[in-house]
Amino acid sequence: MAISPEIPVSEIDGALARVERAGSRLNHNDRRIIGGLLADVARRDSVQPHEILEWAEIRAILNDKKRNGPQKTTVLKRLLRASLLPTYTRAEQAFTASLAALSLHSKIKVEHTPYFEDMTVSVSFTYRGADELRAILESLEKLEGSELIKDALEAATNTD
Amino acid sequence: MLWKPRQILIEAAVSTSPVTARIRDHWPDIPVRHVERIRDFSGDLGRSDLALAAQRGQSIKKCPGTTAYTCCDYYVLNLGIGCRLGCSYCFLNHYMNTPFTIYANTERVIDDARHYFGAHPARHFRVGSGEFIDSLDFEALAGVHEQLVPALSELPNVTFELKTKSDRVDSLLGLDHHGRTVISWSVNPEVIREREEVLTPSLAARLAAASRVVAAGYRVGFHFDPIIHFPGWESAYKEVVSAIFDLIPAGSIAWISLGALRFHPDLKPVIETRFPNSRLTTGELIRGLDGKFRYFITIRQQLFAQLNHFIRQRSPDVPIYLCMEGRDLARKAGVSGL
Repeated sequence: MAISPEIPVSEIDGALARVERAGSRLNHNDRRIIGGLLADVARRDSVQPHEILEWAEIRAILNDKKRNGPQKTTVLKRLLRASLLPTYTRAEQAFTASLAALSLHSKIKVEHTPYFEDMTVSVSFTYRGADELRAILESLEKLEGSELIKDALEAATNTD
Repeated sequence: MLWKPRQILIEAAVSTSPVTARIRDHWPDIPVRHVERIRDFSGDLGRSDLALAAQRGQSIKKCPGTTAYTCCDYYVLNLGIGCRLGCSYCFLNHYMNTPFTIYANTERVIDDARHYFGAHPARHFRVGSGEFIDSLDFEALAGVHEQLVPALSELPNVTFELKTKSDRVDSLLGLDHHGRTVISWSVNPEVIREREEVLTPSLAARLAAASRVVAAGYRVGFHFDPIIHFPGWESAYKEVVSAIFDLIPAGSIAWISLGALRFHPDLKPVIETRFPNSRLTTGELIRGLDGKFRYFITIRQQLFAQLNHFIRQRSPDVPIYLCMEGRDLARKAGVSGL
């Protein structure tokens, strides 16, 4: 596990054990990813990993009786990543919301480049028969004039 | 100079070169080992050793830039590899077991430059010597640029740039440069220098050195690189811009570049291990199109737009360009390029 020397491995292991006691069964990859995320947050905030697990949002995840282990693991990773990448997370959320508002045909997939590094958007779809293709092409017209990337990045920087 | 090598290895091919003689004169007490080729030396070698080697490969290369981002069409003179300044973000921190190497056959570099650039007389080249070494940190000792500056100044289609954080400019002041040499300083706010560039001269010392070379007729450049995003960055960088323009006439500034922090993922554990006080790895860093860590795009845009604004408040026409970024971002930040 590549973690900073000022964050003792025992601290990371202790935090991961706490996560597992809450019902998450962590495989090797989960341990590497969550351990790394905890170390990065700990280093940024100058705290120990077990203190991060005391955050209200994280305690709520770990104590949530409605979620199973794998669900808790997924949400925990997402929350820690969002903590480390708050601006990117806001952009991603804005992009997803704008896309949902367009109500495109369910077969259409619209993606941005990793971390919005490029202004391009990729569109892909599969179809069966001329009718479905016609419906998809009609739906694609909703993308005309939309500024998905620009709007997402603007939303990310406007935190008011 | 505080740094002293543990030993000096000298390749046979450069044993009589002026650079070798000068370094040996400076450090008569340091143990010397004569070897045929450094690469064949089987003994213990590391960052505390100095190797004087012969440049056998291409001494002039196109700047490697980085994949997927715009290149500024720069050329690099490879005069050695290594730096004793030890800045936390430097890619040279990858080379833990490589001795500080200086290519001591400067005449070969000069010949290469004459051939390479002479073959394309209609093209203008920007070439620099500060990619793998600090151009000036070792200059007082090695005297490489004392040969290079006059020699390259005879090439009318070449602008030769020395990039440095050093304030050691004495040896440059009397050289014939014909206005074709630019001395450039990498700059950052003092708070960043104190934490991430601990062995480097202060910003004030660098600017005082810049002022001296301007008085000697050189043009100068400034590289805001790497720009660091931290609480209070705006006022800190504004102060740096003010300090530059308060001391250096805008007409003497050949260019200013802007480059935000970026580093190879392998460097992250190195920074965290070797520089425990560094805060570089705690920023909002994503993996860019080239795989390197860099700030999320909106943060970079803010950094560049604000720096561009600060500079433009002081000079409407000094050339500003972005280093290793995309054209879209340059446009959005309002940076026009060289």
